[in-house]
Amino acid sequence: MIPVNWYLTLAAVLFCIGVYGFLTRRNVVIMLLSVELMLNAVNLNLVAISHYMQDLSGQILTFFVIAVAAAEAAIGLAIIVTVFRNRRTVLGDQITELRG
Amino acid sequence: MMDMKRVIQKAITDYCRSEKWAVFAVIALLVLAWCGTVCASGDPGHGELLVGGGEVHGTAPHGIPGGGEQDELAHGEHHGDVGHEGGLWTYQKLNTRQELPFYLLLIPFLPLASFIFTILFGKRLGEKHAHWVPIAAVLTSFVCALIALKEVMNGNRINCDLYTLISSGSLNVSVGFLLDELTAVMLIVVTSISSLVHIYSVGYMHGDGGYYRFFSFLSLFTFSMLMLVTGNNFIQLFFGWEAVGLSSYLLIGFWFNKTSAADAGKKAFIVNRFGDFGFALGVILIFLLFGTLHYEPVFSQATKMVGQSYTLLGMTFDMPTLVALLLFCGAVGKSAQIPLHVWLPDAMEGPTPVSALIHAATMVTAGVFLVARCNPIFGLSQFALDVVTVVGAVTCLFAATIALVQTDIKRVVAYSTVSQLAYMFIGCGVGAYGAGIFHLFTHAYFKALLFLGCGSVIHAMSDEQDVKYMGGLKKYLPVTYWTMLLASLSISGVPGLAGFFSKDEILAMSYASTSGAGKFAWAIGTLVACMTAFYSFRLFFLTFHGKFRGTEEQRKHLHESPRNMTIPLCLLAFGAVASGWVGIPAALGGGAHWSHFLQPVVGHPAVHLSHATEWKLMCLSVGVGLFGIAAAYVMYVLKPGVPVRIAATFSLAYRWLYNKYYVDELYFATIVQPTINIGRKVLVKVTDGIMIEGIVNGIPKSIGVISGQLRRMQTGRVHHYLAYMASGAFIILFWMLKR
Amino acid sequence: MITALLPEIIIGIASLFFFTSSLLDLKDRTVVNAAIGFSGLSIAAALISLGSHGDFFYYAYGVDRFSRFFVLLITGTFFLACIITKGMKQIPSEKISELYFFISVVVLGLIMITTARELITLFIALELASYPLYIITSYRTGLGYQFEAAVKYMIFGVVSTAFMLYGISYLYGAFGTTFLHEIVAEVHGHMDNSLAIAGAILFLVGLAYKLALFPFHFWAPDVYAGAAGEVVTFLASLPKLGAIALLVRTVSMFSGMENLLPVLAVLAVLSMTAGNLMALNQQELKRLLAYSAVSHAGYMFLGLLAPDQGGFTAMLFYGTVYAIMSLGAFLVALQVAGDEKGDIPLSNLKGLWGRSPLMAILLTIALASLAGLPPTGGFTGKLLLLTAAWKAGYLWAAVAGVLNTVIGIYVYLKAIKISLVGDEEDTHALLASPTAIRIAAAAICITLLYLGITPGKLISMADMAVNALS
Repeated sequence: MIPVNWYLTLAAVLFCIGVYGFLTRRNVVIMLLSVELMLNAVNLNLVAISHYMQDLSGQILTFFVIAVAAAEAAIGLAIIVTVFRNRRTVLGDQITELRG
Repeated sequence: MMDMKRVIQKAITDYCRSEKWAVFAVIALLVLAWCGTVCASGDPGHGELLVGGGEVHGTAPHGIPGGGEQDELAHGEHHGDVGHEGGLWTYQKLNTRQELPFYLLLIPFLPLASFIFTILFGKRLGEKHAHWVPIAAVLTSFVCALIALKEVMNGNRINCDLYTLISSGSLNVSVGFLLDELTAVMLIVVTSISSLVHIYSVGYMHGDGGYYRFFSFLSLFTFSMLMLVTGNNFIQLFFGWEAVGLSSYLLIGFWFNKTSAADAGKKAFIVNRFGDFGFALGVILIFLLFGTLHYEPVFSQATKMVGQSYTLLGMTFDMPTLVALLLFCGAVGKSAQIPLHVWLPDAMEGPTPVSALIHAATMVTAGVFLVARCNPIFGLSQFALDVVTVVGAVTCLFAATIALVQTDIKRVVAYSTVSQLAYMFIGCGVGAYGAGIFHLFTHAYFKALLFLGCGSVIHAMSDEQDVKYMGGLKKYLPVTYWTMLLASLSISGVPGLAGFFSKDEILAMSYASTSGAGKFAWAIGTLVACMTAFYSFRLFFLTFHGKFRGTEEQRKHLHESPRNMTIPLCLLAFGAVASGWVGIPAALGGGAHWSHFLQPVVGHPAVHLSHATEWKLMCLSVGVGLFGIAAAYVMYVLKPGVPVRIAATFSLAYRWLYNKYYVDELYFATIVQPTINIGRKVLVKVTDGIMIEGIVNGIPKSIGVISGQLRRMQTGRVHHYLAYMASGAFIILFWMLKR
Repeated sequence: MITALLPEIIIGIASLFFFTSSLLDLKDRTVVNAAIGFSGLSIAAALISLGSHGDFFYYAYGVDRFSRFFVLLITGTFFLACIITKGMKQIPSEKISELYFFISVVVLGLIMITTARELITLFIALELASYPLYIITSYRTGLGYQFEAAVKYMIFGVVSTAFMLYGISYLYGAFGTTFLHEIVAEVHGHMDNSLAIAGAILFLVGLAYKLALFPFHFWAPDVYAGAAGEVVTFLASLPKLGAIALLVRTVSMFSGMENLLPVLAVLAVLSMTAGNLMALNQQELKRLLAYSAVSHAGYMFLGLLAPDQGGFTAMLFYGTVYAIMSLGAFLVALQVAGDEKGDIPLSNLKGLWGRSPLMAILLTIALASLAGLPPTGGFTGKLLLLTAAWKAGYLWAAVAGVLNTVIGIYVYLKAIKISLVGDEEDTHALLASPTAIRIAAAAICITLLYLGITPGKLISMADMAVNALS
């Protein structure tokens, strides 16, 4: 059996890739995708721990996380679409009218 | 009068009809809430909320050494060998009452009501009527203060909480009033000067756009100051302390269109923050030590602090010294002592009645009041007292030397105020709190008079403040002339006038002091007495004697001020002459009533001076004072006067002016220049240049710079935001996990 | 049992009502009045449920004194905010029903946050209280910056949600349970468990974002400045209360971790300093209030340092006062707001005293309270927080708090000065506010002064609520 630490490490790596992604990508849609990556790291954590501890609540939380991620994508994309209609761009570093 | 009534009625009906009725609702509800809480505080359960309430009712007080003092006090015999007699918070033994009489409530709250009324309706009342309510309110307060004084003179005291604000756990904060000898004196000073200044302002502020605003702010200030002096706990003191600062800020910057006035207001506010910071720390420390902020339990247990120490940032302080010095920080700021004196001269940008009321007679003396009020704490630390003395002495000399050379009429008087305040601190520092308060009392009258006189001169000169353009005003302003003469004589310490008795008391006490600081302060004080006389009369002669040096236009405009300005001057002149008579020392055959009166609160230093020594000291100080007057007379009247009598031709007059200037230069080079070289070049450069510019002005500036830099973080790019957030999270994470 | 859940039920019905009404073609006024009515009803429900207890859904949802205190607070804030935003000047008419629907959902989520006792429930509640906010941020007439604000808010929100979830997954891993009371029972055995520590920190990051604590505050100024004034009024008051409730609940849980508290202290001091400094030269009122929120988040964090010295009570007290005083400030802001772009520069306050004395008084009291000047509730709250921090041994943090108050006074006095002594000749038209708004203004004034003068009652209520935690 694969030790639980391996899963945790993989999840941490995945999470860091997500962080790296939203810090470096300019496109807001890709940034959202990176966040999905982070959420999937969470899911991996939860499922691995849940299995390791023979406790179901982690897996239940995973379902909620998936559902929430879907809702988040829906809202996020809707907002991004309105921004695009308004500004003709989805590049994060061009949406900088509010500052200071 | 009918006219007035109609105007008020109209204003009120207009107001009710307009949409602003809700303002009424707020005020009415506030009043209701107030009444409700007052009623609620009357129920018997209230006593439990009062910290140490049980003691006030007369059960055995704890921790008061020297139980036999009361008998001694009663007989007025106080030359014993106890270290410091009286003043050790002997409240329980005296006749302290627990209920609040109505007149005492009226004293502070009438000005508050007048403030609210005037700021709401003043504009509608117009310039003709806006001043009636404030004047009536303050005069009534004055009458109530007289009643309070009588009550105290009958041997009664009042110490009672009005209501409790917070009663959470050990923290008990309440609004309460304490009426004792010290409070009574302060009440008289504040209400009397405030009434006169209110009346005077009717003439002085005539035609100003913010007429009603001015009167409402004056009332607000009076309220704040009265709350400050009547409080029976440190929180209320602090509240009053901040509130007077706020109203002073509003009044200094009253002509907010004038940049210099707005800046001066800001400066006063900022500089005072530094002192207040220490003060606030002191109050918090007191709370931590005693668990209460009421004067009564704090002062009666003050001796508990002896021997304790407090370690702050690696340094160990003796507890009483630390508390006393922190409190003194606040006093230094408010009373404009070195190094926080810089705001007071600038504060002269405000209207002159404000300078008289706030920056001469009342608010700036709050520091002295604080030290005197907290004498049970200061008395525990000789070091703290020495600091007070030395700061006083240094400021005294410093300010007096500056006053010697200023030409702005108000600035001379402002520096003079700083110097006189320093005298009061010297008095407090050598343990003679009574003498300090005595000087506060007399100074209030003669200095307010000097300021209002200056105001009258400025008014006549169409807002010209530079003495270079004055001169010869004697015949135009006879009333101002004579009253200013009395004030100048009084401040110079001419025997018989108010300033003589109080200043002499301080000098005698500092001479008699056993500490080295006291002797030092005595030497400085005597020297400054000479300077005081000199600069006062320099100003006086330059203004009123000689020839008029202003423009023709100004000359045409010259006129004596209206009646409502001259009457306050005359009343103040009476005060400047007579206010010293209440404390004629025993050496001059007087009863020294003053020190007996104040002794239960502030005690009396356990020193004894023989009458012969006192006489010698008196002669010395009078001598130097007269010398100063004579010197001023020679330099500003005699010498320039000679050429005038010989020839009145135009060129000669010009030469006379030139000569006059020359005398000034000579005086500069021979007497002042060395002093100034040390004083201004070194002291002013070091204190003003490095300490004040660097610290006092530098901090606000650097805060602005930091603020600008920080705002750059908000770039508008969501990437940057996320990067800050993620790095913040990771930094915390690594910090925690590394341990 | 029904009485215990009455507020949730009322708010749930309200959200259904507004969902339906968004499909119908109702008059704006009807919808606004319905909102005021529902929020008023929810206050009544909260009052009824104040003393009740109950455990639901296998202890996942527990009604107690603490949660009901916050429910009362939240519904009260909701009601007041509904009245204040009555005008709906900057909201497109067809969006008003939707706005109320989303806000009802947020309120429901916040109520659930204060009541949840289990991580999954908590997470759902948090998301319920967050997502609608991203949407309503973009509701505003005219093409302004609302979409930019919404996208920033949304991105920031989902990222911090991811951080928080990651923390939750670690907490779950460390303790093997999602029930808070089971975690509390075991927390002392996990002092050195790095999984637990990392989980707690990441969890707190998510909360810090909600409260706009430095350096997790960057969304706040842009969102406040970009969204419509009405939306910001809700945004600035309601979610903060939920965040405070959750912080108190969870930090009381983690307070066994000794070395967590210094971190919180540093964050608190950083936040109040940065917030105040950045507020110094702001020219837009909403943005200024956003930075003020950052510094107040720092002050409130001070309360967390002193769990045993009355810090939580102080926090609850200050949270209440903060909600009221920020509503007061926004009330004035909405009254002086221009119609078109929705920016509210400080210069709009000029001559306010001449235009509407009541508004000027309210602004003065609210800002004085924000600055922490007596005799307002803000002063009392700060006093409680600072003394609590001092007593807990964080002298330096308390000193920093006092120093910050000085800067704060300067920040707010500037605005007060503009409104009081601004050019009196240069007054625009008189402000004619509706009666309801004027009553609300007067009520806010009185409440702030009342809390400053006699705070005892609220303190004892907060005390009872905090005692219900243990």
